[in-house]
Amino acid sequence: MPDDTLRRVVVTGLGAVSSVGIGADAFAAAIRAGTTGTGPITSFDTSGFPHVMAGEVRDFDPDALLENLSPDQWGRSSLLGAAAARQAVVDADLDPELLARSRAGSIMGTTGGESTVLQQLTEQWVHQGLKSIDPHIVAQAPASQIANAVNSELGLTGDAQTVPTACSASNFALGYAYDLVRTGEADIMLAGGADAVNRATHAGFFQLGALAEHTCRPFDANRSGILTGEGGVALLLEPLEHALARGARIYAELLGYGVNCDARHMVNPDSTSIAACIRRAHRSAGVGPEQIDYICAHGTGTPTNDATEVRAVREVFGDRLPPISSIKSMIGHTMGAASGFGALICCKALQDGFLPPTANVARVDQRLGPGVDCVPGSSRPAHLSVVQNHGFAFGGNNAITILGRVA
Amino acid sequence: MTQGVTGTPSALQDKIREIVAEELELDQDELSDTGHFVDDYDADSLSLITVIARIEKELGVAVPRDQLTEMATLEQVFAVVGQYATGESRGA
Amino acid sequence: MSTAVAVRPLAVTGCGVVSPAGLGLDRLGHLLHAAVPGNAEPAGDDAADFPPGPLRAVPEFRLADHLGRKGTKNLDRMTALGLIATKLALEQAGAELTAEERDATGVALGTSTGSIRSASAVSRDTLVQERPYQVNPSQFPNTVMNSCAGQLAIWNSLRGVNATLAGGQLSSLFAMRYARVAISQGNAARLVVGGIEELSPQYAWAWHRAGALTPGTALGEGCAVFVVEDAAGLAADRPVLAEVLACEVGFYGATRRPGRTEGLALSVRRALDRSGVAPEQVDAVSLGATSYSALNRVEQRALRAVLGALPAQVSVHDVVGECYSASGAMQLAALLAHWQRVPAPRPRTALVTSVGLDGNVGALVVREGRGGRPD
Repeated sequence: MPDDTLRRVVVTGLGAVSSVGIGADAFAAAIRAGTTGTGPITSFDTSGFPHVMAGEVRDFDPDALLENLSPDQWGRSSLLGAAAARQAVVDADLDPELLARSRAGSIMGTTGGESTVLQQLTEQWVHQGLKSIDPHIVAQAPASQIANAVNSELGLTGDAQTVPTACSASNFALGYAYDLVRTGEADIMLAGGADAVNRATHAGFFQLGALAEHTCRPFDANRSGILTGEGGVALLLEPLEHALARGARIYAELLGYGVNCDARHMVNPDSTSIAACIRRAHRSAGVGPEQIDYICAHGTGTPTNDATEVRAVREVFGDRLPPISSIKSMIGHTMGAASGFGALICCKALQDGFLPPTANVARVDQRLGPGVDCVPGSSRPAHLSVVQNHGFAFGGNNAITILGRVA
Repeated sequence: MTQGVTGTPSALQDKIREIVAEELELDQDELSDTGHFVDDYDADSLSLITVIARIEKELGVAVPRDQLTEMATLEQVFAVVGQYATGESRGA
Repeated sequence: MSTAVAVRPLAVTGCGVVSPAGLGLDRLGHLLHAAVPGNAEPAGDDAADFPPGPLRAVPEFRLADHLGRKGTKNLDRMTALGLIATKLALEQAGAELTAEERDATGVALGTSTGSIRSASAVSRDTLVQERPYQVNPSQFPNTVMNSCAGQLAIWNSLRGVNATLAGGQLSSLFAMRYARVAISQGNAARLVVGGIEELSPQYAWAWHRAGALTPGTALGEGCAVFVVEDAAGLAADRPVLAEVLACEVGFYGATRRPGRTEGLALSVRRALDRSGVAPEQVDAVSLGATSYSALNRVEQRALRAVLGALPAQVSVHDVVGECYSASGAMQLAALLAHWQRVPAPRPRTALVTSVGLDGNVGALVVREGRGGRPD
């Protein structure tokens, strides 16, 4: 590789463990159809919680999806992430032995890390005292285990870094992995995210007044908040030249990304800062607003987020808003995995030619202003060339990726 | 067990004043009945949500979050809480 | 496919340390030099809840003394440690940043868990409160792992990239590696980068129950952060404490061959290669794995394999205790502290090495800068 040339980076493998389907194809088919994966919570006792809905992955069978990890050695988030990464490698049709010998690693995003492990440890603390916490699960508690799980499952010896930058973390991971591949620090990277439904997150969002009772309906006039969700998602990144040489199916080129920080408030989003992040992403990708065919929104379904997000998009796009939809309407807010699922559906949308929908929309909120096409109901066919994927987070962390057809 | 405050209205108001002052990081004598939380005391939205949460937890009066817009001063908080305290509070 | 290319050095223009030695690099250097361990007594309401065994805790402090009272009510202790360290680092880095400079200034902070005290307190509330949802809304944001990095940005108006990196013992080196990539790719002009760890009964009991540390090892805490900028773009009159050259990492937790020893040796070799430093040019090694007997052997063997006889060794954990996510940052701070105290006729070069219980390994090469010494 020439030292001074940055490499083009493409996505050639996809993996998804989600509440609407296991595997990228099943996930994408469900999203295209507008299928909702949220329902009453079964993973913890919801007695006393006024709102009890979430997007859980109920039929997750780690034994069936993982080849090398022992499920009893890892927390739920790690297993979700590693399972998605394994799928992405299979989907990319990469020889696992070759992959393990490559300069390859993983960057995985998360919000709560191993939150269900922490939940278990807390239960032990409350019921038996700190001196009785189980040492076996203590080792599973660090968030860093998520990327470690991916590298362990795939036998990778490169970077194993978890980026707990909250709800934009998968986009953050994608951006970092893109830089590592593009600069030659690594040759193949898995990037994505994982999080698990848990009591503390559910309680926290309820207390913020940000949790919907039954249904997540982004952009709707009657939207009332998020539903918490979970899942694991991974995208396999490699240099374009390498993908072409091995005859790989290329879903999309990762054209660039933007990251910044509001530096104002831990929780409230800031449209000016988001607009600045969009501009950074465009600059990085070498595109202008007129080239963006679709925006996969952060679209949490809280009144504040959606209004702020649309305001930011208007600031950059003016009157011509591209279609903008939210898959959180179907899978809930999968936290650190959310923008990874967004990136994955963007890849499928580019490849298969459709606009992902926003489910559960009865009436688009007029207060968002004119021209908001949130693709209500189910998907529409569309030829897409360049798309934009949003992720915003607590801490004012904005991360936006731009994906496009390989030209 | 959180109990609905059964004392006098002024006892309820004293407790509310204490909660608001704590969350707005003010001494109680800095907080007037009519001062605007945001304009006069630079209150953060999260602090105001926390005021509501603490009123529910510590005083047993559940006030819906959407009432926040009606609770911009201490006097208004007294009024809204009084309204919800008279009925059976949610689940109490 | 790719070959290692030379790295662009990062200039360290400021350093802030909050450790069991006290506030500041001088305190750390003083205790290191005197071979005296840091403060052993944790402060706070839950001080009696710690497990038996030695601790090294940041001496009691009041955040309001450093930041003023307003707005500090809901900041947790981990964030307080980070805010004070960042304030010290930015002050040392020189003139107040302009608004434009703050747009291009970010944060990269290593932590594997965020504040376990804050996260488990909220989690506990869902179990012991009368109603499970009755958690404190203002404290809920403290449970996300990027809470500290977010507050560092808010309190210092740092609007550039805001990264949190989790990697166990390697967390701080991951943050430095991230900073190198972010600055080389133009994602930031300047970053506050480092690592943080917070002692709490929950955290200490987890270590105690896991039994991973060499018996008698003190568990420590603290935060060390560095202001880093692209060395090539720096004005000639700016004092530079050090230049961070390469930072190479790998994961050898699952593979039998190469194992951790070979993996660490590979990282060290690669880091030296990319820095243009020969093994015999290494003046000192700041060790990472001194708290774990098994890993200690891995580190020693790997270093001998690359360097032959070992040069001077710095063991910061003797002063600050085992600092897990903050380890790498403390190791780097210890080198800077040592260089400040003991001047040399020429700039020295050192290695910071790290081996994690989880199989992550890494090495960082650092060279003494111009103007790092007190006049």
